[in-house]
Amino acid sequence: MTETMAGWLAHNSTSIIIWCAALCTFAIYSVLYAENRFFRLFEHIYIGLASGYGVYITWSEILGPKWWIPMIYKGQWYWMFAAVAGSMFYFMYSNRHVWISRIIFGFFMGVTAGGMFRGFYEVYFPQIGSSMKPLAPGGHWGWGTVSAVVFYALMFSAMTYFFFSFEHKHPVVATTAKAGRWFLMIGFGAIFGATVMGRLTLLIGRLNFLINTWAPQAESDTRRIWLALVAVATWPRFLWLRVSLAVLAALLVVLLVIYFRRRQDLKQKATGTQD
Amino acid sequence: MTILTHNQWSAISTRFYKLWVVTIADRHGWQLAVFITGALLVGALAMWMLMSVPTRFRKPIVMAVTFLGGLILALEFLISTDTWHPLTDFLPAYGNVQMVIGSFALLLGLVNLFMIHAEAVNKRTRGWINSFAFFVAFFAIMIAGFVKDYAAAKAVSGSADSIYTVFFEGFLMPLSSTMFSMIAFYIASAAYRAFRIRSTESALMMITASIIMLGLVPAGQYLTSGLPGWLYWLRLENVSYWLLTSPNMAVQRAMAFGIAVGALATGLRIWLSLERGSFFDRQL
Amino acid sequence: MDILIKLQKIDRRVIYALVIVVLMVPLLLQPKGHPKLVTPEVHHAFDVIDSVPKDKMVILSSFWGPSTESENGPQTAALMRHMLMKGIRFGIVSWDQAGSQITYNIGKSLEQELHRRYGVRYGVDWVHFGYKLQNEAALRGIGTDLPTTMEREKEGKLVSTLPVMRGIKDFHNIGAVVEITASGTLEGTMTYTTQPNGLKLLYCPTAVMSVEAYRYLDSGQVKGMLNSAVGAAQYETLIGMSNVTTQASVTTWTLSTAHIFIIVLILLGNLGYFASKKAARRQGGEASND
Repeated sequence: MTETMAGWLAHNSTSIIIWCAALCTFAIYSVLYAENRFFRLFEHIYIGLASGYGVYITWSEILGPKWWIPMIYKGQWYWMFAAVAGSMFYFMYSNRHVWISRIIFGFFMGVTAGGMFRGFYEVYFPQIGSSMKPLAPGGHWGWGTVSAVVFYALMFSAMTYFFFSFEHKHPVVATTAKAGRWFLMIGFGAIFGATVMGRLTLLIGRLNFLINTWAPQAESDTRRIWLALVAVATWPRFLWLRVSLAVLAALLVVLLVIYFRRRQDLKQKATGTQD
Repeated sequence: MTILTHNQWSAISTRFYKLWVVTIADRHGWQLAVFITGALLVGALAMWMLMSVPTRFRKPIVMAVTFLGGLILALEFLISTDTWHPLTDFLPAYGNVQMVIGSFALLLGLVNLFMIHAEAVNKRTRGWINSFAFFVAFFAIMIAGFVKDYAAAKAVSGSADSIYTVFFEGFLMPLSSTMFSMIAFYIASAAYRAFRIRSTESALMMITASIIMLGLVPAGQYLTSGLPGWLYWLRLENVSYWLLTSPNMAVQRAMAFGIAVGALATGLRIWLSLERGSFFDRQL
Repeated sequence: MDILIKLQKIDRRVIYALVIVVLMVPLLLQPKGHPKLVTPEVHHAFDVIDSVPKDKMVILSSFWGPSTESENGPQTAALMRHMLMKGIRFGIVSWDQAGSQITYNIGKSLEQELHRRYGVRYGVDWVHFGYKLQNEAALRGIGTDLPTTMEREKEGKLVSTLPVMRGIKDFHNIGAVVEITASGTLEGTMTYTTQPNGLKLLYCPTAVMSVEAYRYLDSGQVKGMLNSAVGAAQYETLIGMSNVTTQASVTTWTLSTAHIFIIVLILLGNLGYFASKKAARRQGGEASND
């Protein structure tokens, strides 16, 4: 039985994945129309899945191979001290001893801060160097000169705008800073344009999935379901299935009639007592 | 008062080195259990000592650890030359230790999540079924992942891989992608309802954004494809490229220099524990 | 004029519906082929990968997840495809949890597709180092001792035992580093991996971060860049896929209508705004006259 199920699942997993993905997509997009329970449910499912996956992958690819296996199977017992250090994070939940979590957080913050010397040197020194553009590149005065002058004008005026250590009183400084503000708008416009492109790309990805992956799958599955329904309705070998479905349908109708009649009686009783 | 001779120093350091090598040697069987238990007890003792530290020593301890944490990377950069870099070879192992210790924080956010959702399920508050769904999803994908790895390790064929793939590719991936893709709708709505050109600067920003948006896509290239050869520099893709590589680059560099100095100052303040703010000024 | 003022009060859901309709048209039409324009930074990225010697390895440093799959996925696939077709060894490390599985799946599906023609095999031509928690020392360790830093690959085997890692020890054996990211991790890779060791760095950001990268392209710290899915489509053109319809090419064509639509929305919104301001001023003037 389990082998048949496993086989069926392996054979149909692509179809199941596509249908589940489409369901998730429609559930999240439903909030664009209005806040609804469907969206909230899938939002919580997403949080649960993300957290559970995080636990699994952290163990499977970091803690397992780098901590547990060396400690237990290779005998490197000193890895237990890493667990002791890691446990310091959880003192965050203690009111009295929360400072102990500050030790481990401070350690990691210190590591990042300590790398700033190299960070400043490796990232910004080349930037400073390449900002010294020659006015006559290759010994020629021409478009390169214009380009360099434009570059210096834009960069220094934008930098002047950000100099808040002194007031921009002098007319030259004030004009340069104002020009810098204008040039900064070019940068911000570029960022805005690129942001629009990036966000639309994400939406296009989802719509592409719905239109070119899910829709064809839905069409082929719907055709299969119709064929199956026609087969069940007409083939002699499915007579037992038709009889069972007819009995179930009749039972369902009877139950529904009883349910709605009881609801009507209760409503009448309630209005009768009010009167 | 006798000063130790070179041979005596050598003998002592050799003895300590041998003791160190023997101590950290790999253990197996009951010895491993003893050493792990011993490490746990030493760790518990260290925690107990930390918990007993008087208040006036807490901040200095945090400051010292913060400084020492940064010292390794700082020294690795400052004292190394092309031919002599004693700390660089130590970094891969140091990185592994950091990875392992950092990974232990994986349950940090989870504790809060579990507390909130467990309370909702317990008290059957409004929407408790969502909190229940959170727990179901959490354990479902976690267990599916572990079972898949176990089945792979034992070379057992089954549905574990398929179930895990359904959870990952059928649920987690599309939910994450779709959540992020909603921003596109909000951008479109904001572009229509909120983006107002009230000044010349915003007009300049808008024009730049339009040129760059059109220059990057085929529509923009098609719009100006009819321009004659000598006006090729006015084609949208060329104007867009020039905007990105010249004015934009100069402006981004100017901003970056300002950020760089600020980042260096902030980094130095954090490393030396001089930073102020609610997190840093909190009473220890 | 009145219609513009009336349109100011349009329900936001109408705008959402219009966005979907505008994007659906090119997706349904599925324009064939790739855009012809290839920007210089994509050319340079292609040249860097193409010129990596056979005895060196390329490191793909991936820091993206399902949320930016539409942008970083095509970039990763295009680069992997190029390297597998050319027989350039590469290793991919994912600093994002879910991204680890996604990049592995991309690699595996490309391996399946290219195995017959190019004989591509996992562990021989490429390797996935799995998910690692990013830290400065680990980034530094990539350039100083790659096997120790990565230790095990995604399937659990020791990387030093794999044929793909034969002769790969440190930065001398690394041809290029490609940073495929949706976060601001470029500076970290630059600081600890590529700049100290003189390694070539390629950048594959999402569109939002691409604008800031031009200063690194100018200084030479970044040798080439693939800007979002558009850059991936251009790269696919260079590797000979100009007649194949891919996600990147479909995205590029669809972005054409999308960008024009956004610009039209901004213009309409502002026209309506100016019209309503004018109407308000006129009403105010009439009231004062009364």
